[in-house]
Amino acid sequence: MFSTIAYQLSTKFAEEGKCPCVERRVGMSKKPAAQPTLHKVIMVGSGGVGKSALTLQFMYDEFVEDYEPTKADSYRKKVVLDGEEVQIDILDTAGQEDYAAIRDNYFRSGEGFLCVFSITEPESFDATQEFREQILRVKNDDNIPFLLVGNKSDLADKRRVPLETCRERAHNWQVPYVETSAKTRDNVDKAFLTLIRQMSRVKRGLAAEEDPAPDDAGRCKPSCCSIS
Amino acid sequence: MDFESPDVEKDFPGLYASESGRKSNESDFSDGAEHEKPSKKDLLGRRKEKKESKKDRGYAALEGESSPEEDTDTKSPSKSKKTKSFKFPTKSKEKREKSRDKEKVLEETVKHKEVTEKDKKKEKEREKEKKEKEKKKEKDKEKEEKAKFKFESREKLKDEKKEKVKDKDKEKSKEKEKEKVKEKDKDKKDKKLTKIQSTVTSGVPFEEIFTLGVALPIFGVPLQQSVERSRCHDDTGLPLVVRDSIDYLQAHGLKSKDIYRTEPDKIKFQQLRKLFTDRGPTFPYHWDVPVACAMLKAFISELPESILTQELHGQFEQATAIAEPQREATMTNLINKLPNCNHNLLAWLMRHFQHVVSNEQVNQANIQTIMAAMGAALNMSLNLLTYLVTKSEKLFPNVRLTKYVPPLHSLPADFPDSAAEMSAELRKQESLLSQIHAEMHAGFITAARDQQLWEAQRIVTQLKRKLRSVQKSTEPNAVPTQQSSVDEKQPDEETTRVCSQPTEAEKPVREVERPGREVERPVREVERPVREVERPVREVERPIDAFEPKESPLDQDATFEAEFEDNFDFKPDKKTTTDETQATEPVQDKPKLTEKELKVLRLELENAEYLQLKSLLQAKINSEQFEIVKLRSYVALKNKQECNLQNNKDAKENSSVDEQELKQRLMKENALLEQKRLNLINQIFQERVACIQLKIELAMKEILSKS
Repeated sequence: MFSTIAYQLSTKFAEEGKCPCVERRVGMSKKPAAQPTLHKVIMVGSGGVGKSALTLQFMYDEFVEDYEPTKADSYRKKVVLDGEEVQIDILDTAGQEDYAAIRDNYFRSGEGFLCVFSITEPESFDATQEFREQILRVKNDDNIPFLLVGNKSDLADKRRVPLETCRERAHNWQVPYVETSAKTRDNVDKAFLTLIRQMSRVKRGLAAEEDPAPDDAGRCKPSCCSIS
Repeated sequence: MDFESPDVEKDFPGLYASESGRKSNESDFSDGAEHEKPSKKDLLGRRKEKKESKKDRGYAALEGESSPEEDTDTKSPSKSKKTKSFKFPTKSKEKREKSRDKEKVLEETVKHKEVTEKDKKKEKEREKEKKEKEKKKEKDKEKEEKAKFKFESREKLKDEKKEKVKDKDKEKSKEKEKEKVKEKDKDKKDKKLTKIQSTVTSGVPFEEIFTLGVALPIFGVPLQQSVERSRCHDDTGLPLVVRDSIDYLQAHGLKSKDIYRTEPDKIKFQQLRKLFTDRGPTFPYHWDVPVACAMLKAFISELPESILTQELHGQFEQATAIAEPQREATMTNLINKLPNCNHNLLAWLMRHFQHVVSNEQVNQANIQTIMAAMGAALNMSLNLLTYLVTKSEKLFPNVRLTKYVPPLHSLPADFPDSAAEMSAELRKQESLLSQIHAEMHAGFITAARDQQLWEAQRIVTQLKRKLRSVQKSTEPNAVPTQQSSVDEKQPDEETTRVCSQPTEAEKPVREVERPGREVERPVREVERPVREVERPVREVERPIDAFEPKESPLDQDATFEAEFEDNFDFKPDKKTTTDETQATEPVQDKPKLTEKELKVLRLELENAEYLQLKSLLQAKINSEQFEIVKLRSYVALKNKQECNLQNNKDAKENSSVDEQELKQRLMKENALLEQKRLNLINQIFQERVACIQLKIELAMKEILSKS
């Protein structure tokens, strides 16, 4: 019957179409293949601390003055990190609690988190604790790449969260602390790149530990896995 | 009474044999054999029905498990017959068996067979479970499906033996079917990775029973749900299956003599149906004219309620008796009373039928042909159908049958720069996004869906940026050169905000009292030259230019018209989406006067907020619904197991008592959950509305202080 043949064709087609993406995922956990490694970064923090501003500064070197609450935005960028080209997906989440339901769906797929607060706003600093807990709960992994970011460092005169307090919290969590200014672009790259380095380290570590990458490796036929 | 009405048809089934034959054949590709042996059925009572429900377990029938029980009660009596086989197959089977036992209609031997059959079934399930655990890795989905099919066909065989039906052709066709479905499964493996986290209940893991198509079915559920679960992402608000079928028929069926006449290839039909149920992609080879007709028919006839809704159905039929010209007015009135999704579905169907009938010269299909094929499903009299079809253009003037263009998977580099196209695509993507979110909230989290989510989100972000830059470039002088007299503008804008006017009359009004300001401002307001106000307002427009302004009754300045030109293209569409939100939600309303821009701005903010609120509520509702589905199936599983146990012990009396207790308890639980959900939604809603008002207030302040 015609449709039988058609199904066979479509099966083949679907497999062919699927392989590249699996390849990339496999390559991700081992060494770079043709497709650059993909890192999924998620920006979290209270509303108005500058998550979007940091993201836009990193992505497009622009600083947006007007405040418009984000619901969710996603960006992709290629960067060269230590001589290796990697791809970063950045997800800029909503600070407002209204969008918490949407946020959760993203947390699950995030591989690294930039937890942002404003050094001029103690409440936002307090909120980081909650975000941290939420992330750990969702990811169920204490070693998830994580970075505490104190933003708005250009507003030093309005500073209300002492540097020591920030460092202490970062130390307690055993995560790096970076102070940035989305406005002056101070430390913006550093914050992202630190996190990405951490992420690729974790991924490499994982790849070394459990050799066949869980789930994904098995799903692909051996013929297309052999590339990586 | 009209002689071709479905009621009459039921009374005299013989008269309309062809119709009822068609009606009963849905999703059953082996019913032919059963019709050959009607005498057996007398003895075996409802075995046929049972068989149907079993056979369908792999795909179609399981959908029924989630159809709410209440529906059975609320359904119109004429419909219940049709939808029966798709509701609670396991449970109803149980009931049937029990009642049979009680009545002692069956001989002991048959009962024994039942027991052994059930034991085997259980064994099989356990086996499956083990298998599942063993190879959690790759092909487990596929194998699970295979196992399911094996299991199924074995069941079928058993049934057949009992019924002494030995139709070899049937066997063959089933085999073929199995083969094909397997292939198809491979085909869309990743689409179907719809497992939810393993919540093991009563020994059977959920993911074995629940795929997306099973937990959130689109056939046999209320139209609204079907639309939420699998919709066209443009603004038509139609279920995808309906849209695709009509699209196909419009493109390929109008000139075909098969349209609404030929029976579909059952295998092909089942395949396509499964694809839709599992939200898989369809390809042209899945389609042909009879299959598309049958798909439409199946979808409509499985709706728990009439398209015309229960309360209006009678009025529609009555209205056909009214003489013109009142009839048209009555009909229009009735049609406007229909819920949005029903209205859309009816409009599309009638417009489509009209196209079919207008090609009668070629396809030889007239209204009778359509009536014969679809009348029973639509549950309409010939008179009503004829009227609706012939007058469809008048009754549904805004509906145009356009081909559905699904949301893009990635944004091509040469994506058109026009704001209209961008925002159209943006709306599609956001609709898609909210659907993905809803599915994930319902527990269907897979790598593929994750990826889809990120991709859709990325496209949305890209589009928003593009749209913004386009809009910025169309009002280039809006941003700079404004900062001349800040202190002057500040109060002005505040004035304008306070004094803006309501745009849409249909919006429910909530007065916000600000008497002091109101009294204080108007005098200045009137005196101020228009030009001066214009600039700050434009400035204000910029930050939120992702949203579009709405038409305003006051056109005080022609230059504004020009600036918003590009926005106007897509305004009507947007309105339709917002209207339904706003219809139910109070919208802030300002007492009086001028400055349409600020008012527009404010409404836009509200608009955006309410849209977001809507999608959020949607997500919540969906997850609640899933919870209920879970509970229901839990009841079903429990029932089944208890039945098994008690069958073994031969302790029937206890079984019914226990079972009923359990059922009642769970039903109570469900009712409680429902109540809770309603309360919560109410609370959330009220709080949200308050929040939104505050947020808008804040945003306005922010914007104003910046300019």
